[in-house]
Amino acid sequence: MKATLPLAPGPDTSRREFLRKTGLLAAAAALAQSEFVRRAVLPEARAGNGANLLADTLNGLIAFIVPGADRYSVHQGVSTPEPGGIEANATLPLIFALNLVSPAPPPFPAFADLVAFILNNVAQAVNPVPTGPFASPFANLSYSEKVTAWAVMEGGLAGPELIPLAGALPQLVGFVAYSEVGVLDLSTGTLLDTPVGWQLTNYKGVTDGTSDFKGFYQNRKKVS
Amino acid sequence: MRDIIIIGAGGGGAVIAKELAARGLDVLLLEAGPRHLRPELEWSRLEIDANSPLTGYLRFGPADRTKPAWRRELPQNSAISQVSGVGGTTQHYFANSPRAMPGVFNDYTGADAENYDTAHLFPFGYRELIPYYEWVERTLPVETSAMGTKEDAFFRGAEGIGLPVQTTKDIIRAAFRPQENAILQPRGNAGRTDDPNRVRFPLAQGCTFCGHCLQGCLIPRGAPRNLKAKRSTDNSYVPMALTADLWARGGKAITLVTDAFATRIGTDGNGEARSVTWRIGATGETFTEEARVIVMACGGIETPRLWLQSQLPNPNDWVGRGMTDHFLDGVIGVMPRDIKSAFGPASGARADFPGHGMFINAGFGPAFAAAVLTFSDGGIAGAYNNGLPNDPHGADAVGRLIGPALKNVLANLNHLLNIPIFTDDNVEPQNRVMLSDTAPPDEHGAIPRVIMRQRNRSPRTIRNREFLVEQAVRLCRAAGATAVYRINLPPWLFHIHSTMRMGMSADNSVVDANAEARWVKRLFIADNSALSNSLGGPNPTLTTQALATRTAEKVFQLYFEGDPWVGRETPMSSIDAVVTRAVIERGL
Repeated sequence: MKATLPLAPGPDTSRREFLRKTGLLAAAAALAQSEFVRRAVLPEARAGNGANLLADTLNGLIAFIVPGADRYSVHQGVSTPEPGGIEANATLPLIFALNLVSPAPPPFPAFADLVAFILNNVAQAVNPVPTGPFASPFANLSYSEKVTAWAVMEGGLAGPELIPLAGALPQLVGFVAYSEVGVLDLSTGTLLDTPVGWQLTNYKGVTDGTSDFKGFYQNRKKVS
Repeated sequence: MRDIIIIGAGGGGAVIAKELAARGLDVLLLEAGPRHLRPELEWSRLEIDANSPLTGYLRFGPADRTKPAWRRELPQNSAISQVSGVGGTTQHYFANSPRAMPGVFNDYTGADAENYDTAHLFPFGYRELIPYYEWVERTLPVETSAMGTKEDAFFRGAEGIGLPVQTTKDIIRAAFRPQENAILQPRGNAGRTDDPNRVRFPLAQGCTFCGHCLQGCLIPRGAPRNLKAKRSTDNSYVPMALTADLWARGGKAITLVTDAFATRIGTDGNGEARSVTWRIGATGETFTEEARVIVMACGGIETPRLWLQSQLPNPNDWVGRGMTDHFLDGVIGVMPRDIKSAFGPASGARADFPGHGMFINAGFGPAFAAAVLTFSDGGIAGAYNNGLPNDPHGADAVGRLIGPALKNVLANLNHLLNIPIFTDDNVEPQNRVMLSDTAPPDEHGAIPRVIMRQRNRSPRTIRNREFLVEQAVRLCRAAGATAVYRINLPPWLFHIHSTMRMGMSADNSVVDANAEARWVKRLFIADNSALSNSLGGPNPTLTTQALATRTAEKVFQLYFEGDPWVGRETPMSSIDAVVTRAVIERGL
């Protein structure tokens, strides 16, 4: 069991060059130019708190989908005693995955920043001044407010461009949070610990075989 | 000039390659993705490593995993699960190999004939396809699935709702059954021990019940490639095609080129197919070769893309139209006991409902299970329905599970009775693949836009899906589930068919009854896109492989003055000792 997953982007220059050549850098333009984003205040994105804003926003999202005992879950008012997606170290892999989905046009340095920008602006439509310790308005929402934000996006009320995104994000978060990525040693491709997703599900992990063969139904081994 | 160039080494292309290689033709097989020559060394079977659609070794993308996956434009809430590489999507398929519902063929006269998509039937009879089914079933081979604990739970539920058991390969009534799977069934220690040291070949043969069908089958460790349990085409047809000179009298081994993405089909002055141009991913070089016959088998999305990109004729505007996907849904029962949901074959049980569709049981790892439960078109369970009726049909909740609800359901993965729903969905022109005129092109040209208008499916399609969900909920309850959830999935395209459909009428089809393109001679189609419809619900691979076998015969007869062989000869099994020796000799 040795993973070969490329979890870190290649040299930034070559990746950027590849994306430029293939035109993918413009792929997110439709989303960025959606009515919702255009009406939002782009300078706010530029003046955001950089890495804190991005990480806070996505942590707020991870806590929404797979809450745990972390402070984002506690703040939203829905937490669990057992670990969740944040304790599963899902944040950085999620950022990396989002940035692979698509590049982003300026002023967003990467697609994950565009996603964070959208979530935070939808959050402010739901609650203009959410109070909380985080740089991200979305992370400062209560759980029920996050549900409302999702209903707004998924229902197309913030523009039809956001519907596919609202459908895909929970699935991506769920997959990453319950996967092994948070404990994967990139240098060796092996697991450093039992993944949180395995702990949460009582999953025994990768195996070459089990003793669950129960014979054949009605002992019928062949039909014609 | 080659005799034949086949584009795509997946479930269909590999079949034509092997069949025509066995006839001695000079076959070039192009594959856009990678070739996993040593799965035991290459595949970790960790879900993030295998199944990430962005970076996984079983993704739809180039061989170089540091490069992005190939993009498609999805203008609706939806997802696509396809795999590039030798074996194509069969690398992660469940190997379920049911035959199609007889009612989707033009010779069907049953009392329920009107219950099918009668406007889009196959242009020949079910009886005609049976010898081809039998040929493929013996070649792969297809075998009756063994039971694990999760299959036993499914069967108890099916018995509990009064379904009879089906004991024929043909689907003749509403019934449940052990799957007919393209999986070698357990022998020796297989399925009888948890000890990894005791499930190596030859102590163990066939399925060891590891539960990793979705991550690619490499078991039993130590087995020659053609004796791996799951009969994905990288384990069956492709090794046969690469060794055809060693096991077929007069056979000729194919030439396989991977990392080769076809970008254009060229025609001659008569408008007949003549050449294929492809691009090598690693270097960006392009090559063009000519052939007497060309076969497109790039998959339900890429085949119409390549056609349109090549600017081949499309006079009735049906290229890419009529996409069917079984309008999947998911019903999950939470059992009060361990049913070893994550182990054994991914699915060893199913229930057929002619005229409506079918459903199966399924086992997943934690990450994939989370991906299923968090993916809905019906909003967040218990919070909002996103404008859909969200009829629970007796389920406790409908919609996406997140937060504590998600964690509660996943708290014991091995307690889940997962039931994917495969609807007998109608061919509808609105559901289609086209070239995107808004998203930027990729290195191969305009990217595909895949449109599935799930909120506007035909009344019959919706009715069938609701019927199947109701039956699945009943089955879960009868099996003893203490809670049942309906996900109400958005389009999750695992089964992508009929985008280049074979039809009775030239008004609404792309290929004729021989699978030859109506407007470009010497060009054939041999993947799921050539299917006339969604087969009534059953998984498509076996039927596509039977049809591809029939198409290989048509090619041989029409353009190489050959005779048909199915029904006249005995097929060579891919697990025959002769093939095994050939595979070992050739270092495969």
